This record gives sequence, C-alpha cells and structure tokens, in this order.
Amino acid sequence: MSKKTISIPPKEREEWQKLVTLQIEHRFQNFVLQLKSAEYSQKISLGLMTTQVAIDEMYQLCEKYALAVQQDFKVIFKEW
Amino acid sequence: METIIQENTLMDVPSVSEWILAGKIMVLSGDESVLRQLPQGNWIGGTIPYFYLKSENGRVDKDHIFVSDFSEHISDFRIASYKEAHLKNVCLDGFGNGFNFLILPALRDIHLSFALNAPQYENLYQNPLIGLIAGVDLDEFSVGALSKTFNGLTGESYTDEALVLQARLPAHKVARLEIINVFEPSQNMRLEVEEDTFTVKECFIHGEKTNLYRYIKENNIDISLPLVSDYGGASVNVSFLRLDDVKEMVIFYAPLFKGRTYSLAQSIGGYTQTFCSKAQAVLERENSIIYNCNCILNYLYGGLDKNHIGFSGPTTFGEVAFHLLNQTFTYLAIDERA
Repeated sequence: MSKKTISIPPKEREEWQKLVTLQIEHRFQNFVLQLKSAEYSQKISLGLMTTQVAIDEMYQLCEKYALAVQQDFKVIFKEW
Repeated sequence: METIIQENTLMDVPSVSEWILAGKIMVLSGDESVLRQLPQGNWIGGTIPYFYLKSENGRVDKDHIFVSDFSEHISDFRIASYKEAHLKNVCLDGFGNGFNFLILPALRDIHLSFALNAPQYENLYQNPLIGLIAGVDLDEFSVGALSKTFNGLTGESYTDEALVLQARLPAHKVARLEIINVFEPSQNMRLEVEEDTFTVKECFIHGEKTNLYRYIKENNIDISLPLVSDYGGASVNVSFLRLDDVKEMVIFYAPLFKGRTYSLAQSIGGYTQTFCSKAQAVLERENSIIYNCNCILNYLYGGLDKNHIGFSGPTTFGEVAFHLLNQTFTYLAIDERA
C-alpha cells in the first residue's frame, strides 16, 4: 500500500500573501499559527517585516505542521 | 481514529522513585514535601498540590506526585536550570526538532521577566515552548509560602530559577502545542494600557482615561472572568490577581501589553460543560496528546474538585505556551511528520 503524501500549497499561491496581511481573515486551529499570523500582519504594517519574509516564515511553519493544517488549508486554498 | 491521550497520573513516592531509578525522563508535579523525597534522576519538577482527574473529581493531594513520562516519545534530552538573565536563551539552547518544557516559580522576578519578554525570545517558535508556573497551597501562598522548581539531576530546588527539559524527537515526529480556552472576548470594557505592565491604575477604557480599580468597583465587574485579547483568532487571557484597596490599583497574573486591546471575557454557563464541548472538538482532530495542564483558576472557578473533564493533569499558577497564559488548558500533541 502506498503511503498517502501530505503536502501544503505552493508558496506562489496568492492566498499566502493574503494570509500574512490578513486580507484573508482565517482563524487557524493551530495556536502558533494564530499567534504568528497576527504578528506578521502587525509587523508588515509597521514596516518591520517584508511580505515575502512573512510568507517564507509562515510557509516554513506550515510545512512543519503540515498534517495539522490540512483542514485549515482545505478552507483557505480549497485544492492544490 | 481514536485520540491517544497518554495516561499521565498521580503516583505515590515509592512508585515514582522506582521509575526514576529505571531512568525514565519525566516532568513531576507535587507538594514540596513529596518532591523532596525523590531520588536524583532524569526529571524536573514544580510544586503544586491541586490536580484534576480524568474520571474522578479533582483534589488537593499532598501525598502523591503527578507524573508525565516522556521516555517513550523522545530520542534525547537535556535538563538545565536558568537564572533570569539567561532565560532568554531557552529556545536557542533546545534541539533542532523537539520541544522545551519550562517550569517557573510563581510571582518571582523570573516569572515576571518571562511574562514580559518571552514574545521577543530568539527562536521562540522553532519548537513548542510549553510548561507551567509552579504553585503552592493557596492558604499557604497567601501567607508567603513560595513555589519551587526542582532539578532532578542534581537534587537542587529553587525559588528563583527556572527548570527546563529540552527534549529531542525522532526526525519523523513533530511536537505541536495547542490550547483550549473557554473564554471569548465580549464587547464590554474595551481596555488599553500605556505601557507593558502587571499592575494597572490608570488605563483607557473605550478611549477614555479611567481608574481601572474604581471602574471595576462602580460597575460591579466579576473579576473571576479574565480579560481577553485577540491574537489573530487566539483568545489570550490575562487573569485578575487582586484589587488593591489601598493603592486603588488592579494587579494581574500576567502583563497587559501596550498596543493590544483587552475586553472582559463573556460569562460562560458552566466551566465543565463549556470545556467538554471544546475538548470534544479537540479529541476529534488529534491523534496523540502526551501532556496537558490547566490553570488553578479554572480548577477553582470551574469547580474541578467536584467535576471531571476527561483529562488528568496538574494545575498551574500560569501556563507557558510560548508566552505566559492564564486560565487556559494547554496540551502537547505529537504528529507524524508529513
């Protein structure tokens, strides 16, 4: 039996940019993503972080918690 | 799929001693008198005599120790004590993949320093930083008794130092920290402060400078409910410690931060019912939970000595979930890495 592969959407999808700038206001189930998404939008709006750095960081976190974010991503990205 | 919740439990001193001598890697919670009797080994501990239990009412128990055994889950570990000045390195010193379990003594400088500064710690989010604020019998606390942290490796205990178990996980596992917070912000009392602080005299309520102590008294506000701030969907609580009638100020268990907006939590019908309904959703989506703890205020105001909530664990004088939290149930889940 082949092992089911768990993946997250590619970083190029525009939803990532909307997530870190809170244009998509999604309430993640995962606590650290809740904390970090609030922090990214705040830092971007204050000029303390670029959108790309925020996307890179969030992507890395989501890769780590890929299994736990699947339900969230089905809502946000629908399919990938 | 049924969630596997590790059966952490209360044990007597001889049984815990046996496990220590067998080399198990554990976090222990109990009264100082029982923690003091334990042999040296691979454990860290914090004092607290209040426990909630899975299938029986919670209780004050000064004869048993609550044991959380991580031996089966981790591939390596280190135990270290930290003074206040070095606590900022706690996440830098951890393993590449794992979690850091932190125990702090209650209401000492190191607790306050952690509460104020943790959000700025380097590498904070690389791995879960989970843990608890140790406590003591509340009657003894009110007359000056101090909580303690224990370094099982050396047998030393501290009133002013943190203990950390840095745990490494196998490469195919990943640790994830989650919370259950039964409280949600209400539309009442939109509050902001001018600086990061544990004690509030003047603040802004609905934009108007106000003495918080008098506002609470005049409006008969129930301070068993925490203040809540929304962190991107995460409701983070700050609990009231007490009202200072002499100085007319309000003292909190955790700091309020400048730039954040706080509101009083909505009143909940009953803690047990509300918690169990939220916990059910957790159990439906989690595969493996290896640790949990809950705030002493949830134990007290939620009547957990007369109820059970489907989990067993130690109570805390504050929860470490990257930041310092109050009145929150926290847990550590282990996932297979994708």
